Amino acid sequence: MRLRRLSILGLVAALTLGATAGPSPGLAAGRAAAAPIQITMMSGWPLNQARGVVLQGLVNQYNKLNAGKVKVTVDINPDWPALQQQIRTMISAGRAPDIFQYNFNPNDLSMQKSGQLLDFTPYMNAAWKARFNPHDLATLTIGGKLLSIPFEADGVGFYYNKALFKKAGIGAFPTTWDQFFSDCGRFKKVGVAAISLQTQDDAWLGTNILSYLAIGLGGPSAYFGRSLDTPTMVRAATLMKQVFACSTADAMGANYDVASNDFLLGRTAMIADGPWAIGPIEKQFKGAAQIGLAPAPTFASGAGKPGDLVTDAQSPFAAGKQSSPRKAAAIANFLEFLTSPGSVKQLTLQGKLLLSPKLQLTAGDQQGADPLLVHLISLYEQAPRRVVEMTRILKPAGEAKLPSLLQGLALGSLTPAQFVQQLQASNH
Amino acid sequence: MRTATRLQILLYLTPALLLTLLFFALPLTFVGYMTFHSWDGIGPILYVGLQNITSLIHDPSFNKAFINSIIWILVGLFIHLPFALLIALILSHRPRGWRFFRNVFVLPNVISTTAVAFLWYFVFQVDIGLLNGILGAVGLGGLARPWLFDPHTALAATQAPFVLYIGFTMLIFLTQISTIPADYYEAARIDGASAWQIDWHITIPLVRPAVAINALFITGFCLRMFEYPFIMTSGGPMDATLNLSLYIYRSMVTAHAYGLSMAAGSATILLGIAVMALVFLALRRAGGRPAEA
Repeated sequence: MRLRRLSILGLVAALTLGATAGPSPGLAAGRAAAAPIQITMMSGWPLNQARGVVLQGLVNQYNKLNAGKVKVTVDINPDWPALQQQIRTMISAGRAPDIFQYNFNPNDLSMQKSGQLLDFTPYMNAAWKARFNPHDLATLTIGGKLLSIPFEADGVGFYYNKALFKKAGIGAFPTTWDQFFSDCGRFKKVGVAAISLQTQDDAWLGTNILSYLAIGLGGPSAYFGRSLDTPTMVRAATLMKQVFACSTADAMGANYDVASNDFLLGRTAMIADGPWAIGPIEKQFKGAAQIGLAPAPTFASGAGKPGDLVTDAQSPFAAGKQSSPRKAAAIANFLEFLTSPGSVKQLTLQGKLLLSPKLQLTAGDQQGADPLLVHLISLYEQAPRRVVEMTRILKPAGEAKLPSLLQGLALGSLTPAQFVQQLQASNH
Repeated sequence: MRTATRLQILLYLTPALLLTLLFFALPLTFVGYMTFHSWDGIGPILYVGLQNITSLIHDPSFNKAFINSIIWILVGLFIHLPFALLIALILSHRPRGWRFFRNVFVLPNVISTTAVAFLWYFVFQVDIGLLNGILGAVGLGGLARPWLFDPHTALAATQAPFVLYIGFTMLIFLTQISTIPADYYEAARIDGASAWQIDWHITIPLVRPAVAINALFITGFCLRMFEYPFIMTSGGPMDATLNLSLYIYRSMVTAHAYGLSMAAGSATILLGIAVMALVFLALRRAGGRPAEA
C-alpha cells in the first residue's frame, strides 16, 4: 500500500516536472525565431537632459520601424564613472553589454584587447563609412578591426556672462591670455571671479584650461610626446597657477556641479565647458542672450593658432561580441540608424551634442537652432586644429593622480616643475 | 563525545562555516593572491612578485594614506572613545533629562553616513558653510577659512563628525556600566567616596571589557572609513585627507590597478591586526581581562 502511494506520488511529480520544463527543442527554436531580438543599450544620459530625451525618442522610432523584429531598450546610469566601471566589470565577467558608450583613450586599450568587442568591419558598408571622418575610423581600428563606431566628440568653448563683463567694464572677450589675466583684476573689483574651475573628480574644468594653455604655447602636440615633463608643460603649469588665482575660493575642492553652479549663479564670469552646458545655461538665464561663446585666448608668441579647439575624448559606441549573427547584424543596423543624417541632426540640434558623424545643416536648421549651439558647431568646424583634452590621453594611473597634483599646484605645495615631474612619473 | 553528537554539532556549524568560507576566507585568500599579481580588471592576471609592495612603499600617496589611517585610529581611541566614556559616566548617574540626552547622542548614529557627510560638507563649505557664517556673525570672520581644502585643517574637518557622534560607543559603555553590581557603589558611598572617586576607582576599572570592545569597533570603523573623506574632500587637498579605503578605491576604480589596490588591502588588514594586538596588550598590562568581554 505504502509502495503504491509512493509510486503514484512519483508519477505525479514526474508529470508536473515535465509540464513545467518548457517546450520541446523544436518548439522552443520556433518560438525563438519569431521573438524580436532584444538589444540593451547602456547609456549615461538621463531623461531629465535633452540628449537623454532625444536618444529615447530615436530608440522608440527605431523600435517602431522594426516592430516584431528588433527591440532596443535603454538602461540609464547617469553617474558616468560608475557606468564605466559597470561596463568594465561586465567585460571582465565575459558578459560585455550589447551596446555601450565609453571615453576612448589610446593609452588604455584594455577593452579593445579583451577580445569581447564586436568587429564592425563586415557591417561598415560604403554609405555608412562615408558618414565619418577617415581619421576617426582609423583611430578606432585596433589590430585591423573596427571595434567602435565614432559618435560623440564635443568641443570645449568659453561661455561668458556678458552682463558681468559689462559690469566689470570689459568690452569684449579676451583674445589673449595677457588680456585674460588683466581682466581677472577687473572682475575682482566688482566682486566676481573670472572663471569657474574644479579640482575634484576628473578636474575637467581645470584641465580644460591647462590643455588650452599647453596647446597655446606648444601647439597641438604639446602633451602628446614621449614625456609630459617639458618646458612647455612647466610654463603651462605656471600660468595655470595664476588662473587658479582668478577663480573662486571654492574652486579648490569643487566638483563639476559646484563649479558650473558658480557660473550659473553669476559668481564667475566664464566657464570652459562642452555643449552639455547649453541646456542648464538656457534654463538659468531664460534663453541665452546674456551668454556669449568664444574660442580660447591665445599667446602672442605661442605655437597655438586662434580658434584651436580642445575637445573631449572621442566617446564612441562599442558592442559586445555576439554568438548570434542575427543579433550582431541588428546591433550594427541600430548604430547605423543612430548615426544617420536625420538622427545626427536631431541629436545635435535638440540634444545639444557635437558628434563625429558628418552634420548637414540647412540655413533653415541653423535659423531655428539654439544660437549658442550653432556658434559652437561653427567653432568646431572652423577650428584650424582640434586637440583631445589632456586628461583623456593620460594612462589610468596618471588620470587618478592629476586632480591631487592640480590641488598641490594651486595651493603652492608643488612648484610647476614638480607638478609636471610628478604627473609624468605617475603616468605609467 | 558520541559520534552522533559530533555530527550534530558539525551539522549546526556547517551553515556558518560555509558563509565564513564563502564571504571571508575565499575573498581574503584572493586579496592575498592578488597582492602579488597585476590586473587591470579586464586583461590577464599576471604574476609580478613583490612589485606591488615596492610600488606601495615608494608611493607618497600610499604613505600619506597609511599615516592618515593611523591618525584616524588614534583620534578614535584617544578622543572619540574617552569622550564617549565621559558622556556615559555622566549619564550613568541619571541626571535630569538623561534619557533625552542619551537619545540625542544616539540619533546621528542611525542616520546614513553618506547623509551625515553631506551635512558636514555644508557645515565646512567655504562660501555658504554654517561654520564660516557663524564666525562672521560673531565678529570672528578673520578665522573663516576653506576648512575642507586647507591642508592644515582638512583632515580634522573630515574627522569632526566621527569625534562628535559618540552614540554607539556610549551605548556600549552604558551597557557595561549597568552590569556593575550596585553593592559596590553603595559600599563606596558609605565609605564617603565622591562621585568622581566612585567613577575613577570603581566604574572605570570595571568597564575595561567595554573599552576592548569599543577599541575593536573603532579600529574597524576607522580602517573602513570611506564616506567622510570621499564626499567631503575626495581625499584632497593633495591627499591630505586620503586614507587607505579611499586609496584602495582610487587604485581600483580610477587607476584600474587591482593588484596594487589588493596590496593596499593586505596592508590595511595587517595594520588592523597590529593595532588590535597593541590594544589588547595595553589592556592586559593595565590589569584588565578583555577576554571576558
